[in-house]
Amino acid sequence: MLAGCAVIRSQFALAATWNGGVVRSALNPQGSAARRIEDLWWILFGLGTFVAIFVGVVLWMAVRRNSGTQSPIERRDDHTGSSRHWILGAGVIGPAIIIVIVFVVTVRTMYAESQRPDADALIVDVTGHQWWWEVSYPDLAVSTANEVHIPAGVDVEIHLRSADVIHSFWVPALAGKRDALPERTNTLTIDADHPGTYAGRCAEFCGIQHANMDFVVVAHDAASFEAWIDARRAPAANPDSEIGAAGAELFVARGCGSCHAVDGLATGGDEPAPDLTHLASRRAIAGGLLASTGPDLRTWIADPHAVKPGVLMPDVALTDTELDALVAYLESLR
Amino acid sequence: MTQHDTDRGDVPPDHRGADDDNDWVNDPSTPLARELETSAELNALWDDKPGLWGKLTAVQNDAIGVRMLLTGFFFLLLGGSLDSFVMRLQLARPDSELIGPGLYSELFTNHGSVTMFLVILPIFEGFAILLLPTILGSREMPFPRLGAFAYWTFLMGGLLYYSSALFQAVPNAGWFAYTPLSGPIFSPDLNLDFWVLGLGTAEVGAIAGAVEIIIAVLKLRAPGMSLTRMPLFAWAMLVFGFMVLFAFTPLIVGSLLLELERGFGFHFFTPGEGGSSLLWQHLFWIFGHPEVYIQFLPATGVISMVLPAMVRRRIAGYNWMVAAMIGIGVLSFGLWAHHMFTVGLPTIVLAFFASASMVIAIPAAVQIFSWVATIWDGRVQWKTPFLFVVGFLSTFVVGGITGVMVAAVPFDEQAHDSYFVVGHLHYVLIGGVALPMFAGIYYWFPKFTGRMMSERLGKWNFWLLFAGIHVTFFPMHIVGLLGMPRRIYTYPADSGWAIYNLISSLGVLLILPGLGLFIVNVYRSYRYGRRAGPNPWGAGTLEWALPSPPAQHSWTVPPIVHSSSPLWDQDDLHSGTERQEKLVNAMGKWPLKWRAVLVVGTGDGEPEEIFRVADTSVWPLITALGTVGIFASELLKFRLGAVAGAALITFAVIMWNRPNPPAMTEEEELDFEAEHGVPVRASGSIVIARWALGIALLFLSIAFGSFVLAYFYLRIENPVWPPTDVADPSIPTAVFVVALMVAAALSAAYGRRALLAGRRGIVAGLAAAGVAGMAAGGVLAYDLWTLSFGSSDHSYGSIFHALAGFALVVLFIAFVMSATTLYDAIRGQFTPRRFSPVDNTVRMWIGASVIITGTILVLYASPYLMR
Amino acid sequence: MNDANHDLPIDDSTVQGAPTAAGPAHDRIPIDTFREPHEPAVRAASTIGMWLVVLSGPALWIGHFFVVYLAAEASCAADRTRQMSFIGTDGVTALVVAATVVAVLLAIAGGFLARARAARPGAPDMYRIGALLSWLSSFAILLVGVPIMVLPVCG
Repeated sequence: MLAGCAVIRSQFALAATWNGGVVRSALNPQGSAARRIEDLWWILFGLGTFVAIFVGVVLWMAVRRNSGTQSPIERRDDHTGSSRHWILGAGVIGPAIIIVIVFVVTVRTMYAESQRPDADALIVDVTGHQWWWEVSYPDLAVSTANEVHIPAGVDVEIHLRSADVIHSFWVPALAGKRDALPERTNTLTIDADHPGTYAGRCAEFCGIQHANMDFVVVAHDAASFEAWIDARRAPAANPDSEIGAAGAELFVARGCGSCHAVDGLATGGDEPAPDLTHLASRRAIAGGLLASTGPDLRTWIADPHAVKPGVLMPDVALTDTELDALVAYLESLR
Repeated sequence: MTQHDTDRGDVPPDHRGADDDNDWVNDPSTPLARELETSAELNALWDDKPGLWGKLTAVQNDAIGVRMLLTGFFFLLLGGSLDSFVMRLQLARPDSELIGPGLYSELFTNHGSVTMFLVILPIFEGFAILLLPTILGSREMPFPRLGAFAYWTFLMGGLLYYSSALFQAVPNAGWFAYTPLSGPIFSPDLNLDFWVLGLGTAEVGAIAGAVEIIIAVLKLRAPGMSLTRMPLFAWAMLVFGFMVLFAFTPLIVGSLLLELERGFGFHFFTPGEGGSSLLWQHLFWIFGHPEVYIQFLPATGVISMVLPAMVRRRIAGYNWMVAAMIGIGVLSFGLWAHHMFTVGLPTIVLAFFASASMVIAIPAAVQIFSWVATIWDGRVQWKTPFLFVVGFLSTFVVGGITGVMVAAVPFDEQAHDSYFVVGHLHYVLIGGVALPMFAGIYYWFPKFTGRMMSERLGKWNFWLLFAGIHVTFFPMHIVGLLGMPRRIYTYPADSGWAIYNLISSLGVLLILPGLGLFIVNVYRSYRYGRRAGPNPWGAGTLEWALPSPPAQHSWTVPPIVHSSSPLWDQDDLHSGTERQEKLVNAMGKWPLKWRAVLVVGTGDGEPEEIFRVADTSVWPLITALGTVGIFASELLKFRLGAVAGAALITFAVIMWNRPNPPAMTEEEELDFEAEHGVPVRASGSIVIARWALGIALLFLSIAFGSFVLAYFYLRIENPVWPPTDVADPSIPTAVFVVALMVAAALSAAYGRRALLAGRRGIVAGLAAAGVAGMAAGGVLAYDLWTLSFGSSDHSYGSIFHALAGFALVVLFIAFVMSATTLYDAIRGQFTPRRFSPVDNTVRMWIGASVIITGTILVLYASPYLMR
Repeated sequence: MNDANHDLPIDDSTVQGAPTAAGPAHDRIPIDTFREPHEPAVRAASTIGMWLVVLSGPALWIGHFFVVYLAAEASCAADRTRQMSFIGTDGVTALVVAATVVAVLLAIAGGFLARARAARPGAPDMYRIGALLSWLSSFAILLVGVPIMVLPVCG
């Protein structure tokens, strides 16, 4: 049976990797937290399969046993003594043994999870908003949105909090989920074995656009993580074209900057909204629905509610020229 | 022997509807209930009134039970299948734009809420109200009017909930309505008010039904039916009743707090004002997890009735089975936080809840193997009910296994809120609850319609459902592990989830025709099905000794029971000791002018009392209208309407409980007692009334306990308590209120004592109790009014006002009860023999004193004690 | 635990209506209604004692569960807000260990008590059910308590 499990396991791992390099599956673990859980799962799966087959076979034998016979059964008769043995053996002792096994492996995994991370673990503050994730590195003075960049191979301590309703931070390939609450900070320790991109999602229903609150965790090797941090620390790019400069003016004039911060141009903060200082270097906008490329940005700004109904970003009436300018500016924010 | 007739399959069309006694399906080898020439007279006595007025005043258990079943099934079609069909259509393809996110949120909220509150619960309460009197050898449920009230509130709650569609304010925060998403800031419109208030009304009905069921099982049985001779369905419903009481009460309190927060500016769940969003989760899941077992236990009760009849063997391990049911009922209250494994609870707390969630598998396994062992020793009759039994066993086992998996905390961190859990819960609720429901309907249909359901359609019905369930829900486990979260209206094409979702959606195309065939089968069989005799299945429990359908009063001569399968073990259902026989025969001939029901001892089933059960009345309907009026006026923010509703309820409940003029004199009662050795209460029971009050006090205590838990939860979340600048509560007020309450209880007790001793003093005692109680309420209310902080200042002020308000409501109930009793006492209605209302008033004052004292201790003393 | 003989095939011989010694329950006058006042002085063996024994196991389980849960929750909340003090994590550990030992022993004792009661002639079968419930409860209490030996309290 163990061999069977191993085969099923490898099949699952294969099936779970398809999707364009972004790993999404809990059965294709890429970090130690997820791997611990995957180990636990295969034990549970093995035991569960055994129980299911056992009950199935016994039930099958029971219904077949006297089905065809015409022997009269006296309804007043008592059960044979073996029925009590069945109840005691298969109903009490067997389950008790299995439960003790399951409980022991559960507690063992919980113990491993409860270990404190390395003292020099990188701390990342992640704050859930309707419907995007604010990500900041308190020790590195860097912040971004919907992307958590981490160095591979080291512990990272995620400090989770919500600015509004309850959200849940879930990167199946790296770890189990943890809720982001408005009233207290939860921590989750993750690590990634290798550089790569791992899909994450909000797992707690948080309103109309719960489905589109995706993010990614990007693991880098040490050098490229340093480079990423340095790039984030750089001030926002100045528009290199006339149209871009016009866009920057529009950005302030039409009020974008009252919510969205752009380093050196606008402080944002009236309502929570993603920091746009390095917008064009991010993979996606609108909670994963669109890319941060020119055409997608244009689609988005022209009518955000058509793309993501219920989104809190207001419609801003812009002419085509104004749109062109604004998109040109945003595209320059690399 | 004609019991194998059904093996021939359906009757040819030309025989359909033939009213031929020789053609009916029956097992004549079992004994029948004795009928007397008085049967017709009793039947008329127990029947509801004719016409529309009769429908509105109906209280008879058959009528109420069938209404509950039909209404529950109606909501199943609406919220169970229609919603899920549209949702599965939307999810069949990635990036689908069939319906938008708004409608999708409404659909899954509706699907969860309706199935959990408006479908399974009323269907099983309907089963119980319809079946229990026949199964237990009684004539009625103990409180027919309470049963009617339960039905009306449930119906009106459901309609109020669904009326949200008319106002385009359909609830959309999930069936769990997590705060703060469901709070006034993030859901400012009426959507969530419909959720809280509509379902709140239905919850009141659920509790009313549960009270009725508990007392029916414990007190209204046939002579000789000791606890361990009760059919397992009765045991299941007994545990169910207590679970509803212990689980729904915290939910009602939680819903009340949520509505106070939404409509009145209180703060319980708002972080920043001393509230905690997790408090709602605790209150909700203390209800929410037991709720799963509340739904599952009656299903195991149904299976434990159907399966033995189908395999011609009594259940193996009856005692094990009862222990398993009680064990599941209790353990299910230590599982709630396994819905909260990811919220950041302390590690050891996670382990506590994980262990309870796993241990509950043992009683469940005992049940499974008890059924399997029963099949093992029996001979299977492959009829439709048995197909559903086997379908249940094989499906539920998978749900149970995945249940143990998600109890493993680390694994749940992946599975939680993913489609794995969606798969798991549907295996449990459809496999473990819906399939037994169908088994029960196929099994008992002939008993209450006199016609068999079609076997041919039944088999199609089963196989379509069974295949559909597995095709729909099995792939969900896989797609959940592949990372698909719940409650998303769309998913990207590159996610790798598309194929599993497509398979799931195709499965629904099997389930829907399965349900359709069921409806066709019910309709056709009701019209044209083969005639059923008293015992078409050759079953062993009492209901099958009655004609199909049974008379309104079920048992002309109550049976005398010596076994848990009396029809198999007894040659005659009415023989016992001389005394028992004399009593049951007397009940067949007397009294024919009022509805007499036998009360038995809880443990041994020996006759304890004969009492007059309530007859038809319109007041339950009016009380229900008052209840729904309160809730509806809160929806419309028409606060005066709530006052009017409360006044209407108070008036209607008083009228509902007005005693009938006694149908016998005390001397006639004593004559009967002297002859039969069983007391007669033609003016109303003493034993049953005490039980009812005891359960009512239990309900109030659970509600009080929920408030106290909420208080201390908020207390430990707030290091400074009371908040800075708020004075500590006044100790003299506290002492004064407690003293007044003690005085009230003592004076009422004095009055009762005087009455029973034949002295004067009952009027004075009750009057003094009323005055002292009112004074206590006045002092408490005055203190509340003059507090330096309001109900919307910090969670301290909110919980203080809420708990004190609850205490005032308890006082008000005691006062109204006391006042009506005083009115009757002044009119000289009570004698040392007829004193039940006095008895209950005293107990109510004692209960109220205890609750008020507890309230005072928590609100006024605990801030000093917990520094 | 011979649970099946209690009603098989007919557990008393009163089918023919012959009043026999079918156990004490059948012969006694259950209620004395002839005394003043006419209280239903329920002579019928009060079932309260029976319920106490039968439900002692589940009651212990739920009592133990709430004590250890509330202690852990309060202690960790105090730790988190850092402005209150409760019994501390060592206190919680000690409490859980002590409560578990006491509750398991009591549940086992309850099981033996129920078995002894069940063995009395004419005893209701409910005591057998009570014994089963006590065994189940002792196992359940143990499983709740044991992880404290391994896991940190607040984590």
